[in-house]
Amino acid sequence: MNIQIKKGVIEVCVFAILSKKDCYGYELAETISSHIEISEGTIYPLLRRLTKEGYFTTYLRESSEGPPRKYYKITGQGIEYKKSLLKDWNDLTKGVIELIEECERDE
Amino acid sequence: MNKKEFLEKLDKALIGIPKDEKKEVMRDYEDHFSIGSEKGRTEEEIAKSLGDPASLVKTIKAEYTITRAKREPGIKNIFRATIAVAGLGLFNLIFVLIPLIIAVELLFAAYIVAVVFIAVPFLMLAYPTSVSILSGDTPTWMVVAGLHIIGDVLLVVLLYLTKGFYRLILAYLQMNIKIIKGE
Repeated sequence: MNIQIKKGVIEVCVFAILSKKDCYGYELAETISSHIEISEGTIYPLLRRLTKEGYFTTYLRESSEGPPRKYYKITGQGIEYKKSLLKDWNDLTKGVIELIEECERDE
Repeated sequence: MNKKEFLEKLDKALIGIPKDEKKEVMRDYEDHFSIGSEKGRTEEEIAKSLGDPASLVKTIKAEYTITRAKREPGIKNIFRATIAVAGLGLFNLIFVLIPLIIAVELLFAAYIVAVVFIAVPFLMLAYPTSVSILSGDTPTWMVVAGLHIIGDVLLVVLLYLTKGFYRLILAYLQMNIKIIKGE
């Protein structure tokens, strides 16, 4: 998939997942890449930026095995942002699908 | 590539990022490897799915310098952010850096004008003989006071302009980060 499209898509996915439940980085990467092909490493710079911008907070929780997991939790500001982001996304995909259907009908 | 090789490459490429920040970044990827191993994946598989460390670092650096410029406003940090973004493509070097330099120079020149205008009455008091103003029929003191007021107003306008300009640059740079190629 085109890199520029993918970067925006990953952001949408992260907001969609975190508004349902808190996750650690690996979990997010795993969930997203089970649906679309991504470079999982890009998720960490994205999470750092969105955390610094106040959309997420982090906390550590011990795990039964291995290192403590760093969980990301969506903030009130993040929930507001997610709403507008998902609206943009839905408008965009709806528009593109309509356009493609129109073009194929004309053939 | 195994875990050690991936982390070494990442560590080397993260040059210029402060120690604390770097430690946190490395920690994220180290943890990613540990968790992946627990889930039964090999180091090679994990490294492959993470992507190329060198291009990850480009994104990390650009994101880092921009968030810092936002937190600690200053020309130095803005320039760092600009150069980091420019590093993602030559297009941006030409279309971001050069207009930015020109705009900074224009602002600087305008500040000098404002300061000189404000200083005129004081200069005249300090050196009554060496400073002369071509005032025609208008009394000199009026021209001097006028210049001083213009200087004050200009300075206030410039301060607002600088603030707005700063925000604009940051917003533009952030937009670039998102748009630009470079995975």
